[in-house]
Parts: sequence; C-alpha cells; structure tokens
Amino acid sequence: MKAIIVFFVLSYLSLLLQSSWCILCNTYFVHLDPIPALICWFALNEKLLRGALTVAIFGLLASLFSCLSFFLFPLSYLTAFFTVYFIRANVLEIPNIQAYLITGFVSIEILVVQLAGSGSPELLWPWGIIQAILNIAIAPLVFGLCKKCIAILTDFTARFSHEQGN
Amino acid sequence: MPHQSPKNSKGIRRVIIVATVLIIAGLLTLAALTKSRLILPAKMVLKDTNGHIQSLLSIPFSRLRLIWEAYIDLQNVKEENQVLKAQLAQLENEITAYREALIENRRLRQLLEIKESSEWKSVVAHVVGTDIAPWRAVVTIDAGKKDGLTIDMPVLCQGGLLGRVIETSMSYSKVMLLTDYHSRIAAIVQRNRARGILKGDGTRGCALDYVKKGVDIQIGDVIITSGLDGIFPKGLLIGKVKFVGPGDKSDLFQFIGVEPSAKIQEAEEVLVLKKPPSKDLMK
Repeated sequence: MKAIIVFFVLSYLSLLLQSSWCILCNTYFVHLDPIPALICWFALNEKLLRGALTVAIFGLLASLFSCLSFFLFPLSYLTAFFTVYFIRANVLEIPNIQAYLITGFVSIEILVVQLAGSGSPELLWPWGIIQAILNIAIAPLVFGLCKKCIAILTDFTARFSHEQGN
Repeated sequence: MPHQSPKNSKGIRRVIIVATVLIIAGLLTLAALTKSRLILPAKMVLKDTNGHIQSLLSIPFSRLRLIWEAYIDLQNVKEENQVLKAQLAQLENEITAYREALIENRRLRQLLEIKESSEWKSVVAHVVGTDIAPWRAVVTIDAGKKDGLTIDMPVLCQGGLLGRVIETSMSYSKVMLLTDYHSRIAAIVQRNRARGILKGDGTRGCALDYVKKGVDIQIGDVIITSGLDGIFPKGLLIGKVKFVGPGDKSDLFQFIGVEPSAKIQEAEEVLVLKKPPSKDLMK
C-alpha cells in the first residue's frame, strides 16, 4: 500500500511539474521525466494486480495532461510495468545498477508506444535514445527519493500505531 | 539493496496472462468509448479539475520567469536604450508612411466596396500549462466551451499567429502551436503571393513547403495565412523567411525556413478568434 501511495503522489507531482516547467523553458524533444523510473521502481516493489491497476489509473490521469490519444499513456505505462515485473519474476535478485539500466530500456519501450501512437515514430532516433539515457541518469535520484518516502511513511505508521497502543 | 523476486509458480503466470488480457481488453474498450457520450462528461470534469490545478501551479512559475526576465532586462538596459533611440527616430518616419498607406487603403476599399472584416470576435485567455509529451508543441489555456470556444479556432499572441484550438473542455482548451510537428497551415509569401504549406518543425521554427524551385523567395520575406485551409482567416502574420535553400537536385521544391513572429516562448496571454457563422475565410 505504501508503494502505491508513494508512486501515485510522486508521479502526479511530476506530471504537474512537467506541464508547468515547460512554460519556463523550451526543452526541445527531451525533458526531465521521472515517470519511467517511478514505474520501474514500482514494478520491482508491488504485487501484480494492484500494481497494474494503479499504473493503468495513473496512465489515464496522465493522458489528461496531453493531447495524445486517451489510451496511449495507460498502454505504454502498463507495457513498461509488465516488462519489469516479468524480469523480476524470473530473476533471483536485481542489483540497483541493473534496475537503473532497466529504466532506460523501459523508457525506450514507453517512447516507442507513445511516438508510434502519436504519428511521430521517426523521432525515436536520436531523441528517444537521448531521453532514455537521461532517464537512466535520474533513476538513482528517483529510486533514492522513493526509498526515503517509504522510510518516512513506515516511521509515521509505526509512530501512529505506537500512539494508538498507548 | 537488491530487489527480491516473487515466487515463480504456474499460478502467478496464469494471473499475469489473465491480467494482461483483461487490462488490454479494458483499454481497447475505453479507447472505443473515448469519443462516445458515455465517458465524455467524466473526462471533461477531470480535465477541468486538472486545469484548475495547472493554472494554480503556473502562477509561481510565471512569477519566477518575470523575476529572471527583469534581471536580464536590467543587464541590457543601457545598450538597449541607445539602440531604441535610434529605432524611435526611424519608426516615427515609418509611422507617418503607414498612416498615409492606411488612409490610402481605406479610400481604395471604399472605392472597391469591400467591407472591412469586423465579424471576428475574440476571447482573451492565459496559458496555464504545456503538454507532457515534449515532442508536441501544445499549450493549455484557461478558456473553454463556456467562453464559446470550439475546435479549429485560430489563436494569436503578441507578434502574430500562435496556433489553433484542438481540444476543448468546459473551462480549458488545448492549443496546437504553429511550431508543432503536426501543424500545417496554408500560407503565402506577402511580397509575391507564392503559395505554400507551413509545417512546424517541432522545436522553435517552421518550414514553408511545396514552393517550387525558381520562385523568388528572399530572406526576410513576410509570410501570412492564405485562408485556403478554411481554418485561419486570410492575412494573419505568421513570420519571416529565415533561410532559403535549393535542396537536392532531385527535389521539386525549395527548402524555406520560417521564423515565427509570435513570441511563442513568452506567450502568457493569447487571443482566440471566434469564427463568425458561415464566414467565407477567403474574403
């Protein structure tokens, strides 16, 4: 449940910031997008059905911030979620560095769906690849932030239950 | 910390397959219903709610930009002052010439019995957000159906044409900028009336396509809307020619780069032109 809260809150904040940040600066075809890293982290930490449902709902929410077709965001995010989940289900353990690299791969996956679906597949090279590299670069920050948020939530719930006990 | 793997059993595999099929089926159903009236009200309410949040969030970002711009302006103010003084003298001369031209124009119009277009009403709106897909040059404005906005209405900003409305909800609308990768506008070169299609390059510029080789196009030529697309009224200022290239030998057309006159990056207030009923855009 904590992972769902952290994923949803951080992703929604990221959507709001992304839609406002571009008023300040033109970022051409790439931008700081923590969502692929968040999906990757979420797929490594959440159960299948709950996770897939959360990602699908978040995808629908994300499509409100864009003029792309309504189902493109949920489809691309779910594809990324399932990919990471399948990897997780078939590997004993995934070191952090590999999790960051997976973020890059799923970024490309997300972009392929979104770019092809919006009629601009030619932008995948080189912009999609640059975006994926940028996403790998910010993945450690996103994973660290998520871990910190989970720790704060755990601490908060522990204190709350302790106070309830007293 | 390494991430632990879950138990790899047949049950999980079945759940995965069922979930995948269910979710994809659900998404396809949703996609089919997107344009139906069933989910349209819910989508509109959600868009409006998001728009309110975006417009709230855009205030601090706009202020930040104003502070930054004020600082930059202060740095350049001395140099600018001297340049402006020189320009002022030149502009005064030009204004006199334009006044003469305006009077002459009115006189000629009266002679030709052409009515001035006054049927286009406008709505002022503010830019509150941008599209989260970085390859789309689309902005959200705080005017929607309740202000009388509909799809394909032209949008102007300081300097010239900005784009057109592509989506509307009750209080917010999405505007596709003329620099968008998918934007196409029927345009003409003001000087020699050469026709072309203005295509957004997805970044900050545009290109005027389908102008044959041999047509005289010069750097600095003014590009305006032709009205042939049935969306934009004739004569709206688009921009100036920035680059002219012959292209390859096999190319039939010239390569013409256009710099939009509208200050797209600084656009905060925009003007949406409301189409008059059954107006012939060519007139």
